[in-house]
Amino acid sequence: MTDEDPQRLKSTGGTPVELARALRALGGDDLDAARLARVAERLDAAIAASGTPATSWLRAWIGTKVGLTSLVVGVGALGVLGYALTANPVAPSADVPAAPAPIAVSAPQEPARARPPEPQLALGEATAAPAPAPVREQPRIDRPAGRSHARPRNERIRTNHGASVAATAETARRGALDPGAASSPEPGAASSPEASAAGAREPGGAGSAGPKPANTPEPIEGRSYADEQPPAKPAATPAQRSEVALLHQARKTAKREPEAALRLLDEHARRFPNGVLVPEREVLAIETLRRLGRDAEAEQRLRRFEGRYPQSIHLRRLERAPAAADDD
Amino acid sequence: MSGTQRPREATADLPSRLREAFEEHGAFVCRSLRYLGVPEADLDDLLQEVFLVVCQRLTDYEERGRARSWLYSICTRVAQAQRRKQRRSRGFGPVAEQATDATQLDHVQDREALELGWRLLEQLPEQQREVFVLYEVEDMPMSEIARALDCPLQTVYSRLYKARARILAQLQRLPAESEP
Repeated sequence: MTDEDPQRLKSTGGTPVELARALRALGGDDLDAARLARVAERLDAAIAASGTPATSWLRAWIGTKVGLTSLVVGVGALGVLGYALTANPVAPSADVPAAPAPIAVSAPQEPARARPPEPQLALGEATAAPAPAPVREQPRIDRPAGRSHARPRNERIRTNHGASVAATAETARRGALDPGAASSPEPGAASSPEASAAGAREPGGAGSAGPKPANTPEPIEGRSYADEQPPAKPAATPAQRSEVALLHQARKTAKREPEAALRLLDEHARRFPNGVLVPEREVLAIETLRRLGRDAEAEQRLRRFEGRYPQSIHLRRLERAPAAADDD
Repeated sequence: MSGTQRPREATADLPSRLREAFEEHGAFVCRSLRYLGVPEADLDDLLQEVFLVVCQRLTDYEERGRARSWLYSICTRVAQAQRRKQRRSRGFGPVAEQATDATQLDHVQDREALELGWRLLEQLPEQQREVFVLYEVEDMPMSEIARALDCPLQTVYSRLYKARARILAQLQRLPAESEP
C-alpha cells in the first residue's frame, strides 16, 4: 500500500494542461540566489556564535576552563597578597617599580581612573598574568578567509563571556585588595570598557613583572578578545551585503531596464570578480542579453559559464530559456 | 577581504553536512514555508530558523535519511511558532500574491502557470493544501507525507483526494479568466 501511491496529476494524461503546468511551476520556483546567499551568511554567523563547529566549541570550552581556573588561582593569590599587604604595608612599595611600567608602556590610552591603587593592582595582575598570547592567536589567523564574515559575532559573544569572567576575577581581586578600588572603574560596565582596560593592562603587567609568571592564561583570554573585537566587527559583512544588494538591484531592474541592469552587472563584475554570487550574476546577465536580443553575446557568455560551472543547477534553466524568451 | 571566496563557498563555513542540507533542500524549505503561509518578509528569518534546528539535530538527519519529511515537520513547527508569536491570522491570499511577485521565473508562461498554481492552492483548506502540495508538487511519497505530518496514511489519502476534487472543480470554474 505504501509503495502503491496513486499516479500524480502532473503525469496523468487526464489532467488539464494548465494544472499540470501550474504544478510544475510551483515546484520549479527556485529559491533566489540573493536569499540563499543572505541566509547562508546569517546561518554561518549564527552557527559560529552558537559554537557548533568543533574548533570554536573547543575554544569556548577552553576559554571557560581557563577562566575558571584563573579565577580560583587569582582569588587564592589575592588572599595571600591581601595578607601580605595588611601584614606589612611596606610590601607593595617593593613592587612599585613594576607598577608604573604597564601604564606607561602598554596602556597609555587607558584612563587613569581604572587603576587608582596601582601598586596593589599591578601586583594582583602580575600574579595571575601569564605570557603566551600567541598561542591563542594562532588558530584564528590560520583560518580561511571565508570564515571572516562569521567571526565578528562569534568573537563578540565569546568576548562578552570571556570578559565577564575576567571582569569578575578582576573585581574580586580589587575587592580583596582595596574595597574602594572596586567602585572606581565604573562597576556594572562588565563588558567592553572594563574588559579592554583590563586587556590593555595585562600584557604590560606580565612583561614588567617578568619573574612572576604563572601558567594561568586567563588575562590573555580577556586581552585577545577585547582587543580584536572592535576591528573585526565591521570587516567582511558590508562588502557581502552590498554584493547581494547590487545583484538584487540588477534583478529588479532587469525587466524594465535591461540596459541599466547590464551596467549594474558590469559593476558587480568589477567590484566582486570572485564574489559569492558570480554564477547568479552570469545567469542574470545571460538572460538580460537575450532579452535585449543580443543573442551572440548571450551565447558566448553561456559557453563561458558552462566552462566555469559545468555542474551548475542554473544550466538547465539557461538551456531551455531561449525558446521561451522569444515569447516575451 | 572576501575576494578569494568562490561561489560554492557561500555556504562553505557551515558544518559540511548542514551545508549539504541547505544546498540540497534550501529551496524546498523555502517553498514549504510559503505553502505554510509564511509571508515573504519573514521568509529569511524562518528559513534560517529551520536550518538552525537542523543544525542542532544533524544526527537525526543522518539517521532518518528521509530528509524532506523531517524538514517539512520542522517547517510546520517553526511556522506555527512564528504565527503564535505574531498572532497573525492565517491569510494565505497575500502570501500567494507575494510569492508570485517574488518568483524568479522570468517567462510569461511560467509566471502565469505559477499564478494559477497559487490561486488554486489558496482555495484549499490548510490540511488539504499541504498534502496536495507535498504529493503533487514536491513528489513526496504518501508514506513520507504521513510521517511529515505525523498522521495516519489513510488520512493523507483522504486529504489528497478531497484536495484533488476541489482543485479540479475549481479549475472548471476558472478557465474563463485563466485561459490564454
